[in-house]
Amino acid sequence: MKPVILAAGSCIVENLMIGVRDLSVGSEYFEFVMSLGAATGGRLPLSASVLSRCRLLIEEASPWVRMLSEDERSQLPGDCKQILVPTIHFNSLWPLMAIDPRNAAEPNFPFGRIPFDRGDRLALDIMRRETDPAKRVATYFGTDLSSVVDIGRHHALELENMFALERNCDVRMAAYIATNFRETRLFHTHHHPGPEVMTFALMQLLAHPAILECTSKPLATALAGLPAWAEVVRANFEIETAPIHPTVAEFFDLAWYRDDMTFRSRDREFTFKEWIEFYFAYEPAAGPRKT
Amino acid sequence: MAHRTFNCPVDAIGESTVASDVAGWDSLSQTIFILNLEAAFGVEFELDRIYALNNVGDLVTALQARAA
Repeated sequence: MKPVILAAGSCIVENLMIGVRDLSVGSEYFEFVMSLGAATGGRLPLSASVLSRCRLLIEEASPWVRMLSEDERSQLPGDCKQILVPTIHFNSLWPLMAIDPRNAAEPNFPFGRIPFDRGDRLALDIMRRETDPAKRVATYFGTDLSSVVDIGRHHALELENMFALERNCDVRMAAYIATNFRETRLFHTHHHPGPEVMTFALMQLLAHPAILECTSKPLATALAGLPAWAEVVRANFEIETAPIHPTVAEFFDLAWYRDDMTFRSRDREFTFKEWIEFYFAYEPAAGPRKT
Repeated sequence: MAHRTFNCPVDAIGESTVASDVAGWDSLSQTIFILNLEAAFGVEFELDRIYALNNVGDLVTALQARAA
C-alpha cells in the first residue's frame, strides 16, 4: 500500500491539497486522503491503516476546531512530517456578520439555510426592537455604524489575530493580506479567500522541503500550473460573495468597491441594500433557501 | 455575554472553556466577543497579549487586570 499524504482542515486545505497533488507530487507513489468537515461535525474518523501509513500531514491550525482527535494523532508514525497551514480568515470587511440564532444546521444544510451562512447583527438588533417591519430597512440605513462597531478597533484585532494564528505555521499570509486587501479583492467571504491568497499559500507549500521530498517534479514545472489551478479555486469559492456594508468599504477606501456592486449567494445576486431588504424579510423556517 | 455571542447554553462556558469547545465560537464571533467585552467594561485589551490567552479563565483574569 502507498504511503499517505493526509490533509486535515477546511475547504481551504482541501483546495491546497489538490494543488499539491495535481501540480507537484502526483498520485503515482502516494495516496492522498482528505479529512474535512470538522467545523460542521461532519468529519469521518480516519482508519488505522491511513494513520499508520501517513508520511506527511498537512494540517490547518485552528484554535476553533480540532482537526484530528487525540486518538488519531497518537496513531501517526513517529517520523510523519507535518506542515501547518493557518486558518485563513479575514473578518475586517464584515464587522456586522454574526450568528443568526434562527439559522439552525440541518443534515442537508450543515451551515443552515440562510444565504452567506450568517446574519447581520445590526439587523438582528433592529428586528428585536423595531416592531413595525416597514420601518426596519430605513432604521438600518439610518443608523450611524460607529454606534454599532468601532471598525478601526475591529480591524486592529483582526490583524493581530491573523498574525497570531500563523505564528507557528509553515505558511504565512497575514502580511500579504494586510498589505493588499485595499487594492485587490482578496476574499469572497470571511473564510473563502480568492485566487491571489490561495496562490500565495500554495506557492509556499510547493516550495516546502517536506513537499519537495515527495516529488521529482522541478518546482518551476509545478509553479507553471498555478494559474489554471487558481481559476478552479476561484470557481469553487466564488459561489458566495458576502455583502460588504458601504460604510465599511468607505472606511477602508477599497479601490475595487463600487456602490452598485452585487454580491452572490449561489444563483442570486444582491446589492447591499437588496441583501438587507431580503434579510429583514427572510423566514428561516419557510423552506430551503433558493440556491 | 459569551452565550449570547456564541449562541450557546450558559453552562457551556466555564473558566477552562477554550474556543474549540463551543460550536459557535469561531473567528467572527470571537472578535465580536472581545469588542463587546471592551465596550461593556470600558477597557481595551493589549493587542499583543489578547490572542495568547488560553481559555475563558485567562480572559477573565486579563479583563480584571485591565479594569483595575
